[in-house]
Amino acid sequence: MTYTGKILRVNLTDGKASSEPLNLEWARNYLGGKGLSIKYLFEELAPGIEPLSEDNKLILMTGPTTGTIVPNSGKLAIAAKSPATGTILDCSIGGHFAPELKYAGYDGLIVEGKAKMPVYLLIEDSRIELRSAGELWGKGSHETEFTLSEKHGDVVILTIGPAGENMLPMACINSQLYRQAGRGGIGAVMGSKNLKAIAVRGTGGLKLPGIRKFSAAMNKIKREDTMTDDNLWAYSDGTPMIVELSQSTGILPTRNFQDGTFSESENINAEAIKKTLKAKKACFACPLACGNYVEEGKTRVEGPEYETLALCSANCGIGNLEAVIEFNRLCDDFGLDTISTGNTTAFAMELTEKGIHDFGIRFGEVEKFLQVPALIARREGIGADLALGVAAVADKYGGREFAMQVKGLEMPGYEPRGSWAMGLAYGTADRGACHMRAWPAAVEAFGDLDPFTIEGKARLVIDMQNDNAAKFSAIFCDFWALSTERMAEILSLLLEREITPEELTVIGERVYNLARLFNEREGFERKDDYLPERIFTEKLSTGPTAGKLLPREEYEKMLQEYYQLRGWDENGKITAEKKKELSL
Amino acid sequence: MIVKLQLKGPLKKYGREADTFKMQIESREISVSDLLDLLSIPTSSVSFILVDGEKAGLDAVLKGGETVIVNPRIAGG
Amino acid sequence: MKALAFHAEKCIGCHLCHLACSAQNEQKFNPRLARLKITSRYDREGLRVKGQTCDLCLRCLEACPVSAITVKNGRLSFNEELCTDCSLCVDICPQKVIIKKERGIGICVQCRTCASWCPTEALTFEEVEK
Repeated sequence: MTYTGKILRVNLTDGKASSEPLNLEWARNYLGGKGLSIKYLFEELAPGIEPLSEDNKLILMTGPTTGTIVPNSGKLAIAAKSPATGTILDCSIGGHFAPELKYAGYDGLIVEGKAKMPVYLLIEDSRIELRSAGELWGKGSHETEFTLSEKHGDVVILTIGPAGENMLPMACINSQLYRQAGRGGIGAVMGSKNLKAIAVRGTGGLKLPGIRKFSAAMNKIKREDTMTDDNLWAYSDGTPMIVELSQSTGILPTRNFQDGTFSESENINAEAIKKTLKAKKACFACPLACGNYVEEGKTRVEGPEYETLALCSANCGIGNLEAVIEFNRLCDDFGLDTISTGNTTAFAMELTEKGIHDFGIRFGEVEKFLQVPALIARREGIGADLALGVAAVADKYGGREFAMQVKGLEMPGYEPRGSWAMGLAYGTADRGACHMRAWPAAVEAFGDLDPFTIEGKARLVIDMQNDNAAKFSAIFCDFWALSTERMAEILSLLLEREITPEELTVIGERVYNLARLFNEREGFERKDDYLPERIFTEKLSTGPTAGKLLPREEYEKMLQEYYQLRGWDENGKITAEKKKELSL
Repeated sequence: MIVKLQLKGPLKKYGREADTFKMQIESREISVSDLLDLLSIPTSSVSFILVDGEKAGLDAVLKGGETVIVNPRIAGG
Repeated sequence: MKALAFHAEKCIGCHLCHLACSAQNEQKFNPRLARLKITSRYDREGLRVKGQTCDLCLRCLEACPVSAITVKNGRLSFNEELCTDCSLCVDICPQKVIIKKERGIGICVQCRTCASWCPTEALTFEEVEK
């Protein structure tokens, strides 16, 4: 079995670290990653705790694939109760941290309590140390990584920037400069614990019976199922490829979701990014290398990813690629999630243009746009308000109907009026508006399914959510379009017991329901599963989606069908039968 | 008839490794599906096709002069 | 003779080569036990990609006082029975790709498992001057 069988628990309040056995029954039912971290949080967090208090816990979880030669197995789940939404929050971060933690001997790390002074956690195999981060506090994510690398050599580092220190609901956790656990304020949880960084070095490695045969089988799978037409877009273009797909189907959020097409999309599409490309970059054990390391003018970044291009470029009306790259770099360094930051900036622009509140920034204003990340991260000037995120800004100044968020989490880069199932996916995602729980845009706007009907969409979203929940628990990167059968085949070899595709589907469903149960316990219900008014009542005006909206009554029907198929009641609560069926 | 083609991302290998190229077809019209066959592009590798900027089905008929963009499948966002 | 060669401009930093090598030769997934060293990291100047592979320079063979390292069919061969654990070969290797083990050493035998895994042909097997 490719679990190490150990969980490291570090209490920052008393400075104690201890190793405990992994709960194998939970591992059997929840695999690892997303599922297992949510299970630990569900069992260990008292309902109603304040996410930024020392009662919250930060959980880092690997999975059975982590550290092995299985393609696209380099991801790490980081979970906590979300400061942005109050829901469960699990993020997925690439890079090289997950295998390193596993090689140090741990399947997961649970961080509890709160340090009295800023610290960083150093894990070198079984040697665990808390060291002062006094000198690092206030520094950017990038400088923090450089400093710790120079001090500790080949450790792999997770860090927060000033945004995390200042406990912003849009603060992310960074690794290797440009990889993020981005959403829901996961970086603020670290900041609230006075934890600036976690550095790990693991020298132990993993054993597996028949390792040579297993590796040969994986090499075949890598050639025949990973490096194929379905997945190599990641290498040839990376996520910027989606700019043209979204533009040509009218779902590229533009000027705070006022339009679905952007007149300057050619400045930010994959071809434009390629002109600035210096190198392709992969996470650990990934042959697809979606990362684009680019340089333009005086700035550089690994990115910008599609989400950044959609939310920080089109959605802010900024068609200047160098400015978008610089904005991306600033967000990474300050430790800001680009989806939420781009959204909030765009919201401020619209509030200003509409005369609702003057933030002094309008669509397309490059110079002011570039000042935003620093202002937000430090809560200075307009940043004092914008740091709260769109929902809180709307509560203060108005514009609620076009504050583009669900449950308090800002909306990603796919316009639901042009891909109706995407609306349901946002409404029912466990952590608020998220595109990674289900991504039906792939088969609606970018596929054969009619995007403007609710027919079959509830089932579609449920299946995608369950599959992804299993995939993110195993852990695989979502960019490998692998089948449940393939997942089951690989996991059976790693866990040395037969796992069927059906069992994986049940695990995915169980994980998704446990996340829902966590939210239910926090008081979330049907009324929280809705989209901003703009989606239901304002028609888009340009491109192939001109004249389209997602009528509220259609959404209601789709949501109702979704609950019914999920085995949830009218109010979106999990029924007793469903809980029993899934052993929740 | 002549159509202008853009094969995106990994589909480029089925064409002439150029971003955009023109293709001469020895008939007066051709369906999108036959065009893909001619290029040996498996339909399972295609997400959607744009003909002159508009989404088109496999049965759409080309009469010459169109620009055809073939997009690959993508997982995750 | 032919030996491994590394092409930094093609490397994506996935470390599958390290995993493949350690699985093949040490029966473990442990990048630190690989008989090649590829690093791909960001520093203050930007992305830095470096690769060290055995290019069959044979300095280890010359350094070994007990002839535990020899060349057979164009590949290095290590005889653990003769090895005295003196580590001279480890120290002299210009590429730093000989790993010290509890008993004996791990040396690249040009098995090319790493190259067979490389997704971008950043690792190739090429003629070297000898």
